[in-house]
Amino acid sequence: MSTIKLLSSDNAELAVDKEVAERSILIKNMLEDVGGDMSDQAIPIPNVNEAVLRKVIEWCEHHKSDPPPPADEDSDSRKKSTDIEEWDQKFMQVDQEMLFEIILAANYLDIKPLLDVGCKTVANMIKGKSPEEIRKTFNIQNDFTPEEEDQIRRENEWAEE
Amino acid sequence: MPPKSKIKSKTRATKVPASRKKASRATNTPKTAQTRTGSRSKRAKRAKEGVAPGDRSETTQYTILGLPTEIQVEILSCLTVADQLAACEVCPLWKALLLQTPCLQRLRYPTYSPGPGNTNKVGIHHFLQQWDIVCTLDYHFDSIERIFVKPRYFRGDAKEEMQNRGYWLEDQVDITDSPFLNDRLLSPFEIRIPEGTATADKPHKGFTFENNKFNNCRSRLEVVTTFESGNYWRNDDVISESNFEQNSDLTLREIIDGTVQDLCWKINAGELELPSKEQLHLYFEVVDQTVKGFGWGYGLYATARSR
Repeated sequence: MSTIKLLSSDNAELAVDKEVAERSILIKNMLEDVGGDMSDQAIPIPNVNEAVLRKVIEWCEHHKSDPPPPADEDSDSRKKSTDIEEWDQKFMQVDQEMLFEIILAANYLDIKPLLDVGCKTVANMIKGKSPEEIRKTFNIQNDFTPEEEDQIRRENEWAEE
Repeated sequence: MPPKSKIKSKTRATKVPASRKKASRATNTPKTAQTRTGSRSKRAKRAKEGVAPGDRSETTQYTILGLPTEIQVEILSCLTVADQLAACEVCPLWKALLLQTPCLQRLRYPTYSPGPGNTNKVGIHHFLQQWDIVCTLDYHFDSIERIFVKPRYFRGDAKEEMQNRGYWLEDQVDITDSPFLNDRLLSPFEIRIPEGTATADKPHKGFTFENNKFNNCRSRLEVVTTFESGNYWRNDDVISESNFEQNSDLTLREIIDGTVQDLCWKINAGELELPSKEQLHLYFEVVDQTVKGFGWGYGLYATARSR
């Protein structure tokens, strides 16, 4: 099995099985474009640092023999379940910053199943919470201005007859 | 499935609440631009300082609102309608996304047609499809004080099914200020009929089909007002009926407002005598004319405080 090298944004060189790296559609297409032989040259991944890249590779290793995701299925028949398999749940037990970095890396590297797991993980952090609890969880400022809050109230007032 | 189907005949038609439709207001300008500017300037600052995008030293960059909008939409699309209600109040960006992104609006309507045999092509907003809407009226019966959604089922298998499908509510939720009330009552999206259900050639047992109109059976929406409590009601409980056009673009707020104002007017004009119990039950009923004699009800309740 051939190995390729990836170069993270902070200049760390990581050796990865080609099969594992090809979970990333970006890398897969890149390798196809250059004819597959990248054995002596590291592929630069300028948007992803070493820590995140290692994490992403770990996920790809575990899921290397997964069947390919069904080709762009109809978006509304897609099951919007937030069930996450156990291994992925453990994998996603990281701090929020790492979680968002993994999501961004999965988006950049075009690894749809990893992006899905990331989004579901975040959605599960929102579920069952009040707006204030959600803000607290993600450290979101309540930036509805008093005027906007007023406007919301006004919009929702019942028209007097 | 709401067990509210019944057979009835039409007796009279009253004023259409649509006539009380108030001018729709312009939707809030989405705040997306503002938020984007924020992250853009951050990126610009970082570029100036020569910090690599992946540099861990800048820790504040990786926040949920810093994610690309399309990823935030993806996250929000994993939420149930109940969670959408809360998410809508978190920040202006999420409010704008939930209200204006078609793939998120769509989650508030059924994808597939409801009803026995799934013959009904009407897609009613989940607030009425999955829940009941309850209004409390003011002291003088002339306006609505608060509007709530509450779970229709409280127990057993139905509760479990609601939980599995993400429509379970532990308690009633105040939606008086929810911008989702400005959603249309009827789905603006395509409603499908699942495979393997009744067809014109092979009708669902007990129903007849006419003129092959099977695929175009969103024929009339009717609001029936009744004092009767419980899931079933009789013809002689009906105190008013109003019809809507099948292509009606009335919002939930307009329907609720129109129906309740109409009722209040009648009460105050002495046309209606309140029953001893002080709960008025208003049902939305969708009448599918293709399937004769079959109606499908959705509950809207109005509760008045005693005088």
